[in-house]
Amino acid sequence: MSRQQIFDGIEAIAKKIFGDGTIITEETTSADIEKWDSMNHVILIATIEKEFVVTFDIMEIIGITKFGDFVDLIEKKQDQCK
Amino acid sequence: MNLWKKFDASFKENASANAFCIGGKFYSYNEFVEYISGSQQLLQKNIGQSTGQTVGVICNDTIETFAAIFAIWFSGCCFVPLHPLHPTIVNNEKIEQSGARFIFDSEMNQSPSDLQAKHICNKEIKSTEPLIITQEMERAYILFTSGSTGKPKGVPINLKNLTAFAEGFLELYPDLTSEDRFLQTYDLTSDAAFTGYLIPLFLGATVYTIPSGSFKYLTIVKILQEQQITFTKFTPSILNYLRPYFKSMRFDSLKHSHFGGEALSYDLVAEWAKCVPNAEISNGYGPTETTVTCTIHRANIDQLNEHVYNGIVSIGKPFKEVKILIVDENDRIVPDGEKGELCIGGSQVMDGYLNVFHDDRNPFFVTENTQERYYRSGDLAFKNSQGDLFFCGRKDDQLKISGYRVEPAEIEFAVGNVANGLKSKAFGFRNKGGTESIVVFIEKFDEEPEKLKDKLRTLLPSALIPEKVISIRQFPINMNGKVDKSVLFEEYSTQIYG
Repeated sequence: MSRQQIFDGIEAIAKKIFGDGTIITEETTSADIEKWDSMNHVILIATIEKEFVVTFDIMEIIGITKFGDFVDLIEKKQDQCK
Repeated sequence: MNLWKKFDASFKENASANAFCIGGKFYSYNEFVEYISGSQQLLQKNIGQSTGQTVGVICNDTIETFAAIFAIWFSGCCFVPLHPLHPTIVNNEKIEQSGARFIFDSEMNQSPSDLQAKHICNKEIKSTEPLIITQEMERAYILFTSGSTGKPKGVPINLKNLTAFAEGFLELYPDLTSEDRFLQTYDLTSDAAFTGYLIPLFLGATVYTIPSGSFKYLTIVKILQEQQITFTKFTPSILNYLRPYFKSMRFDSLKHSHFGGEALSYDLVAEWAKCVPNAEISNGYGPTETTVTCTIHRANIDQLNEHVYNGIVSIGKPFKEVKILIVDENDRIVPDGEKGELCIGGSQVMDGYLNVFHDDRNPFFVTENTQERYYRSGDLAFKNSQGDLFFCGRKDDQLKISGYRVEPAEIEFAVGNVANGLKSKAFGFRNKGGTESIVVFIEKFDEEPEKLKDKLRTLLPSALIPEKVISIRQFPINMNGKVDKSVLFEEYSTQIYG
């Protein structure tokens, strides 16, 4: 899966959670989205894990500050599987 | 003991040690004293030498906020915490009720002109002038709880109450020293925060705070790991957020994992205990009116399962200067093992609410024989033969369904048993037919509600079977880390009443 495909998948999940009109880029952080609170963060992570069939450990999750971090992590996990 | 003198002595004794780590920056006790002195100078410019005044503090995550609190106390005044993100109308209500004429604010988040008190900005204000410790003081702080009238209810806590709490707590934890590292996870407008900063400052230990704006549960993990925290207290709801990741967590440095503010589920804490193999688990209980924590249960995980009722860990035994009675509706003491309202007496109990509204019930009663005053907590509990107390839910939450008295905790425990330990909350509601009924919210539940009800019928009498079973992704949590019932009822009103 290319970086763009991964991002598109994450963007679709994020729009479902935060609303269709939400602007999402790799640089978007929780500070940019009002609805991105603790509860939605849990839901976002769980949905991404399910859709991309990956699991993140707690230290990886702590390191996530923006959407691009999710893309990086999934890319890394893809490479590890090769 | 004079509490403030003891703090002053601790600050001097540990001058070069770290008092705080805020946003990754360390502040020594020496620096902290300079900040307190700076704020005290500012305060005295405004109020002169007069003691007994009430002063607000906008509680930002800054060293100046903590300095302002101590400057107020050392000057013989009373502190009122105000939340920087609460609506101005809420903060003004607190200012008006408490009579605060001055407010410390290190960040100036809220427009000073909107608040009905004079602002004292103490950002980066330090002084080397010696601290003045005033001994004449009665009231230490006023916190506000939600009142039945819709207006916040002021709970004034006196120095004598706070001293009794500090002495009671410290007596139970003789192993805590100036070497300890405390993680302060509560909002400063909640009294649970006092455990996170008063106790360590008394000991000369270090307080680590949680930066605002971050995902609290993740920041807790990060700081526990990176700073080798030895004592922490947080609400059990935080564990719910962390539960999916328990397997990848281990905090060997933690000596005490203390909980408070909500019922503590045994199943949840038993799983958490594996992440903190060297920690003692403790569960505290205390309404704001009885000063932070007034009973505590402490145990290592192997002993914890002996002190569980309806899946909830015991709230233990009272602190040194606390007396407990469990009474029936006629204020008669019930025998051990029987449930009743938990009433609290002794030195930690407030004298009375700040303002009494005409429709408020009297929160106290006096025992006939001994003429001792007890606060009615509104919580249901029972005491076992060893004197351990068990919380059984709020008296107000107790439902009457078809003539049966129903405790939500009993239903939640049964749901946990038949739904693989999933977290649930049961509430009463008036159904379409106008009768009292039960709704159960279950987190991440993907079974048919009817199947669940069938399973529950094997464990519960028919009156306790919920009419509605609603699956939710995650429980909404309020500012104090507790499940937010009003948000649940608003979000799922169609499913509840439809």
